Amino acid sequence: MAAQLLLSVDGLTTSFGRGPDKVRAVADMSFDLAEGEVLAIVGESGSGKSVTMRSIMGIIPMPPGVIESGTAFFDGADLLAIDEENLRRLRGKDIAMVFQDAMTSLNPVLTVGRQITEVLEEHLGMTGKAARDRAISLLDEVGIPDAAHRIDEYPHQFSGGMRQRAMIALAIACGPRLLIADEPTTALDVTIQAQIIDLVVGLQTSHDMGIVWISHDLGVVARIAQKVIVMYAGRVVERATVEDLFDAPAHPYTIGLLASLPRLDQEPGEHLDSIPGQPPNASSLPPGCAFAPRCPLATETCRVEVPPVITVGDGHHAACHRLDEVRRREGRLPWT
Amino acid sequence: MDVTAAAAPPLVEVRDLKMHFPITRGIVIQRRIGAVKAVDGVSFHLRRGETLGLVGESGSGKTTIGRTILRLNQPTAGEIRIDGRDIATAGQGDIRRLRPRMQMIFQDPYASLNPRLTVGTIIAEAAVHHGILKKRDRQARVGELLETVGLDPAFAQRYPHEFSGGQRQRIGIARALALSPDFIVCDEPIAALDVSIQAQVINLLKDLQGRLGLTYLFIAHDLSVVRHISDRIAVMYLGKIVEMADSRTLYHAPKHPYSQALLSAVPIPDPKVEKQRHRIMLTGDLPSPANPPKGCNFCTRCPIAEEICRREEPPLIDHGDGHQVACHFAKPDASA
Repeated sequence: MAAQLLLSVDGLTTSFGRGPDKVRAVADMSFDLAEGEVLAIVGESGSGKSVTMRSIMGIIPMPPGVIESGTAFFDGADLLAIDEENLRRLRGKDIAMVFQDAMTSLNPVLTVGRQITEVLEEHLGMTGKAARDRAISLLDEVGIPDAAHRIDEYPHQFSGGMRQRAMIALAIACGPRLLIADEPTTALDVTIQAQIIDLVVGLQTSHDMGIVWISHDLGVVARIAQKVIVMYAGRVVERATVEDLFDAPAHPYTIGLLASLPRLDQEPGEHLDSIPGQPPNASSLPPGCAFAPRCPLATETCRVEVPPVITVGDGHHAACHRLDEVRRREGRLPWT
Repeated sequence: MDVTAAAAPPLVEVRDLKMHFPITRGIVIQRRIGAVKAVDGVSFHLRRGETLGLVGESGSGKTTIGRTILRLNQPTAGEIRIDGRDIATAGQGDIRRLRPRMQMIFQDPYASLNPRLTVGTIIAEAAVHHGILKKRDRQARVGELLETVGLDPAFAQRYPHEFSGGQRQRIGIARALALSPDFIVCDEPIAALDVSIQAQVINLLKDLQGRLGLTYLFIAHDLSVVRHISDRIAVMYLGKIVEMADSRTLYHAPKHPYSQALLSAVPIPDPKVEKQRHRIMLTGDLPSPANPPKGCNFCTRCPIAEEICRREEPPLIDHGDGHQVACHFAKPDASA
């Protein structure tokens, strides 16, 4: 069963600043998302995962941001090339976004209900009682108790978890086909995080949305994603199905990350394997592989040449010069 | 933990500690109209060389406990003894003399280092002030401390902004070690760090504990990390300890429904494990500590709450081997 392609990004490169101060935040990023598929983009702060999705949504501040190259096709339209008017028509209707901080999306001086009826009116032409009833049923759907009354409250009257739910209700109001979730559970406590993940997974199934979920938490990714992209210093270092990525990670960075995580379901050892060094500064990236200074397998080639993307298996790719060595060592690398 | 250590008197003893923050109304004449019961009757002890993990969600009072034990807050009631000496009621002069023995490592390495001081001054300041370190020994001691935490001694001349988050956290650890403390409160020491740096800092803390015989109160919301580093764990909910046990017992046989839900909510970085896990979903949010529910604090979200839970507060009862649980329905061990 070949699902329809929903979003296709090719060669996206985004930078900030100009001249000698130019910083390339995302370099040559490509990926495809099928209808109803959940893709996770994982990476540390500064890896370019948020900038990727914000470039596609057209919400990079320009200047200083510049989209240097690339295409992002959604429903036949290149999101990086269409005018603001058409992009606005798509955003909020066919493409929606939720953020880590709900107050990024919610307006503090409008009631929660008004904000939802506003998008219903704008995109679907619903007004009056029909819009209000729809807003109540949306709040109800995202698990806000007593929605008929709480619809008239302001965001500050909601708790953190409830605000996150209200933001999700706003995002799904017009039945988007693509939902971009930028670390929406990172600031939440684990029991609330579990509720929100459950909610989004449920909505994904019932609404058949495609989701791009941005996260730094590999546990959350293991729970929700079907496919995963790992980013490091603005580039894709590995992409795979969630099973392959956790079962047989190919890139030394992915292997190192997974090895360094203490796991709740395993007896703790004395020492965690850890990746040495620090994540690189985007303004002074090494000429070759950005991970080379921290990689236990790095050679001279790694330090001078950007590694090509190599196919490891079906739908499994990694950008590394030393994949043969990783395979020879069966993924057991000499971490400190 | 060897036998002699277990038999020795505890280094830290906390008995029925209460920290209530007043809620006042009025600007000129402030009337007290209530209290936020951030910590409400907590008892525990720490043996020398041991790590006690303190877990709970935001608002559970775990950070307040850490700060109150070091007398950064004046406790409302209760006893705090460190090496037999009373901290809760000691005068400012006595506290000052005791301070070098108890130190703190903070969550945010960006906010906890003075940006205008060199790293060397930051590390040595308190030790010089307390007369532990003579000015002429300063440079040598700072260099030694930087090496201890895995940094280049030459960094002493630099300023905090030149360092990454992980390096700053190491500087914060060196500062705490400068006073040769016995006891360190680690308040979410890795929560603000990148994933690939977290394991480095955990390894460093463990290694220092082994070398210097340190005793840690390790406060964190990440249960995987707490399990990795702690000998015993206390679970907090709304200002009270609801369960306390050695780390193995708590993870394998949690008895309190809140501990069970909390553990089941933590995502595990393995999609195969995630697919098969049974999750206990809690509904709703943490109640306000200014207005806790009657009876058991957890009764509003507890999946097994009955009438008695809304009426009577369950006492913290020892179920054997120091496994303490505060629940009306906690079952005795199957083997017992």
